[in-house]
Formats: sequence, structure tokens, C-alpha cells
Amino acid sequence: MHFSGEPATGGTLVQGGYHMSRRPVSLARTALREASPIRELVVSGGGIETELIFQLPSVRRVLLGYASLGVWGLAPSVRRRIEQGEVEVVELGVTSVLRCLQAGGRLDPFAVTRAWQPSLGVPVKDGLPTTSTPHFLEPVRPDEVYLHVPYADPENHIAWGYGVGPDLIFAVAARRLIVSYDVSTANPPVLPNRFVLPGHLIASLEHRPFGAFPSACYPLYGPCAPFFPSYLNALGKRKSDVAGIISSLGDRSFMHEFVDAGARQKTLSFRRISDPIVTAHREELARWMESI
Amino acid sequence: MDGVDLTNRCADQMAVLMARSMVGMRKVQVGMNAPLAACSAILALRMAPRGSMNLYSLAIGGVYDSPQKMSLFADEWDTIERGAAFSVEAVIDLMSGWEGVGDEPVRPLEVDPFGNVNLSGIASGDATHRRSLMGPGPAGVDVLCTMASGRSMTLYVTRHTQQTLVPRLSLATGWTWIEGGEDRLRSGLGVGGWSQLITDLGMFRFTPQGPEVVSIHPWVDLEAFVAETCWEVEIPDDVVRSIPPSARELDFLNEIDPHRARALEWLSAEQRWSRAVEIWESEAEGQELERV
Repeated sequence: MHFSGEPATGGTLVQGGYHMSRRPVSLARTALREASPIRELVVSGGGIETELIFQLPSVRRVLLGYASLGVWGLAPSVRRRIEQGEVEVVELGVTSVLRCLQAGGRLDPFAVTRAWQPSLGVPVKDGLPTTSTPHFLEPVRPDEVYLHVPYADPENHIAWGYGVGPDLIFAVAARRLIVSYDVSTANPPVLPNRFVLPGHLIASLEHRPFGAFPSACYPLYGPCAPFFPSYLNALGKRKSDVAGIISSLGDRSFMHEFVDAGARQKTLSFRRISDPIVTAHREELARWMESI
Repeated sequence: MDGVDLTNRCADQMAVLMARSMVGMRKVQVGMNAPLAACSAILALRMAPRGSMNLYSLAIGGVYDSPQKMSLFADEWDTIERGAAFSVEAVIDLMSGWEGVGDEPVRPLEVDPFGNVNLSGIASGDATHRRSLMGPGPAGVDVLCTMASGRSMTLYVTRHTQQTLVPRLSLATGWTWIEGGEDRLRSGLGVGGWSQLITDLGMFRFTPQGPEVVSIHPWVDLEAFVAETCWEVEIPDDVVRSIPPSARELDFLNEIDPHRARALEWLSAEQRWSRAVEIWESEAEGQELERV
């Protein structure tokens, strides 16, 4: 990822966000565009950003907790590449993936879980211990982490709130943290569960309005449902890797390609605003949304 | 009964069976991409004495203690706006700790006679790591099967066939009785795993000796049930019929889930997408911009 003029490092990538929020989609598209040499993904609960990044031919291994497009079904590119034998899958439960990343961030020698892990083999019947056995997992320190957040301030501190999700775990574990944000403001609003990450921990900070689209980035915009059937139909009809198409589109074209203007506006209205500071940024984003 | 009527009847019957089993549990969880399970849990909250149950939504990382309407998209905003979302580290600890989990209905790709489950996919059968079908991944199943309170953890499948209720799993993701007998006791996993399976044809209980038929749904032909069940189970001639939803339960269901999101899991991909976009449109219309 050629942010800040630095060469792409490849290696292991973790992408942030959770459920339908703050998926770093714009960063994933940049990685596609630049044919980033990412080899391994670590996915605790992956969504559209995982579906996109899986289209990188360099990806050959995934440490997988869960990957799906939610109500829209399984992630087709994830399925296709694994079913074709192009990507090796190591399955751990979601919580175990997160524990491995926590251990990585703390520089612990191992992570501990009492659960049996699917990829570590079916339990042996004979000679099993009669007391609970903790299981030891390798810590994971990803080479790169992508996050998307709503706010950054002039000193490059980033802020997000509401559901913090796993992003703090990812940020602490990262060797190199790359962040995109929607709005620059000297005074990010006070949000429930607000978290501020100091700028010195961030290797590269990119201004990407609607960088989480089609996922939500509360309180600025909600999720965009119509994107998904449009994308999935395009993928099905084109019969070829749609990565090139997705990556070649600028933000404006990306949204036009998959979502009509009415649906884009509904995405913007899909949340309630009670803070006038947030309202001001909503207007800025609304103008940007209208401009594309 | 035509296809739509049958789907609706199945969805209602299964939702009510799951809800009845959850009523009275202190802690119920709903995972990702399980509208039927979510609807059932909300119905259970509605049927239970107010304040007696807590519903955790793991995808969002939030908790409810009062009945909510079913939603696919707005619930995330509802949860975080109420300040009821918390960090995923807390979710991990809350899942694992204290009294454990009363229930978190899980929908596997395959289930075997001892309540072991597969969410990983179907192995290709050769020596490679390929899969002929890739599933979503283990999600939280690894932890669920080791820490559940064991009271009545539920599995559900929307299509009861010999391809879903299998004699032996293609890939193992989570374990209940392993291979029966004293396996679980000797394994060190402790009390836990899944105790019941609800399908679109009937209901089973899992025991160390194998599965037992609890009931068959009222409209299901006994021969059809036997034909689709390859497990060795005794089905008496006077087999119990599932108690159908009461008028009150149906009223609650329709109040909670007027868009019938609970039936999404039966629909084809394109039907599901179309219905999900309609629900999103409806939920987006309900959002309002408020100024302080």
C-alpha cells in the first residue's frame, strides 16, 4: 500500500470494522488497485472488505473466524478462491482469533483458549485428560491493519465511538496501522464509548469521505443495502474477476456503478442525529454525496 | 399448502418452538446472520416476565433487556444510540463468564446424530485443503460448545434433509457428545454443547446414546419425516406432534416481525436480497433527523 510514499510491505493484513460498521472498503479498493502483495489475511468477523481483498491474487492463506456478507449470503470471492484451492484456510473461532491478536499486541508468548479449535484437529478419544485443558495458540502481530473511522483531528489523532468493535485490538497488534477517515475536525463530538487513538501510532492517515461505504460509519451515515445485490449480480454476470473493475473505479464511479442516487441519500439519512456538531458534518458529507 | 404458506408456517412454528425453550433464561445470545433466531429470541423476551431475560447481540456487541422489534439494519443504531454497545473484549468475557449462556441458536451446514456441527464447509475428499463448499467459518461455535450451561442449547436447520442431518460430518466445527457414550465426559470439555435440534419437519433431542425425536410438526407426513432422516431413531406410531403457535404467540410474532424477516432463511438468494432491500427501505424511512 503506497501510502505516504512507503513501499507496500505485503505480509499479513487485518481489516477493521464489525457487523455492518466501519469496514475499510476504500482502503481495500486501493489495495486491489495497487495489487498489494498481501499474503495472509487474519479475519475475525469479515464482511464486504474481506470479500474485496480476497480478490487479490497474492492472498494465499487466511486465519478465519468468520466471513460472510450477512443477510446477503456468503462472500462469493472468499468461497470461490477457497473452493478452488487457491487459499489455505486455518479456522479458529472468532474469539480465539481475537485472543491471538490480543496476545500479539501485548507481546505475550501465547494466547489461551479453553475451546477446541476446528483446524487443530478432531479431539483424540483415548487418553483424554479428565480436567479442562487450556489450549495454547500462537500470538498474531499483523504487518498491516486497515481501519476506517469517522473523525481525525489536525494532529492526526483519530476518534470513533458507539460500538468500538475489535478495532482497538487490531490497532494495538498492528506493526503498521493505516487509517482512513471521513471528516477532519478539531473537535470530534463526544460519542458514546468514544475512543481516541493517538496519531503517533498511525503510519498513514488518509482522508476518504464515505470510506466505509457501503457499510455504515455512525453517526455520519448508515449502511447501504442496495449496494449488495447490485454487486453480487455484477459478480455473477461478469463471470470473471470483478476485482479489476472495482479497483479501477474512483469513489464517484464506484457508487454510481452499484447504487442509485435515491439509495445513496437513504444511506445518509439512515441514522438519527441529536448533536448539532455532527449535523454540520452531515451537511458537508451530504454536499459531497450530492456531488458524486 | 403452497410454497409460501408452507415457508411461513415453518418459520412461525420454528420461531415459537425456539422461543418457548428460551423463555425464563437469564441470558440469551443471538449471533450473526440469523434472522429466525433473532426473531425467536425477541419473542421469548416478549413472552417472559419483563426484566427477567437479557438478550445479547454478539454481532453488534450490545445488550437488550426489553423486547425490541425485529430489524435487520436499524437495531445496530438502536443499540449503540442507547449506549448499550460495548467493546468486543467485553463481549468475549461476557460470553465466557459467569453463568454461561442459556441459549444461542445456531444454524449449521451439517449436524450429526450426537449434536456435533459443521459450519466450516464440505471437504473435497482429496488430500488437499480444498473444500467443495466453503461455509462461513466457525464464528463463536468453538466457545459455545465448551461453555454453554447445557440447559437447552438449540440448533436449527431450515431444510431437514439427508444432506443436513448427516451420519458423519464432512468437517467438524463444534462438538456436543462427540461420538457418544462417555466421550464428552472424558474429553474435558465439561457440560455444554447443543441439546436440541429444531428443523422444518420436527424436533430432536441429543443424548449420549444418540438422538431422540421430541415431536414432528402437525402438517408433516410421518413417511416424509422418516425418508429425510438417515439417523437411527425410534419414531413411535403415536409420535408427539409439535404444539402449533397459539393466537397470542402469532400476534406477538407479527408485531415483532411485521416484514417476516424470520422467513428470509428459506428464500432463494435473489428473493432474499429483494426482501432485505425492502426491509432496509422501510427501516430507513423510519429514521429521523433531530436537532437538539
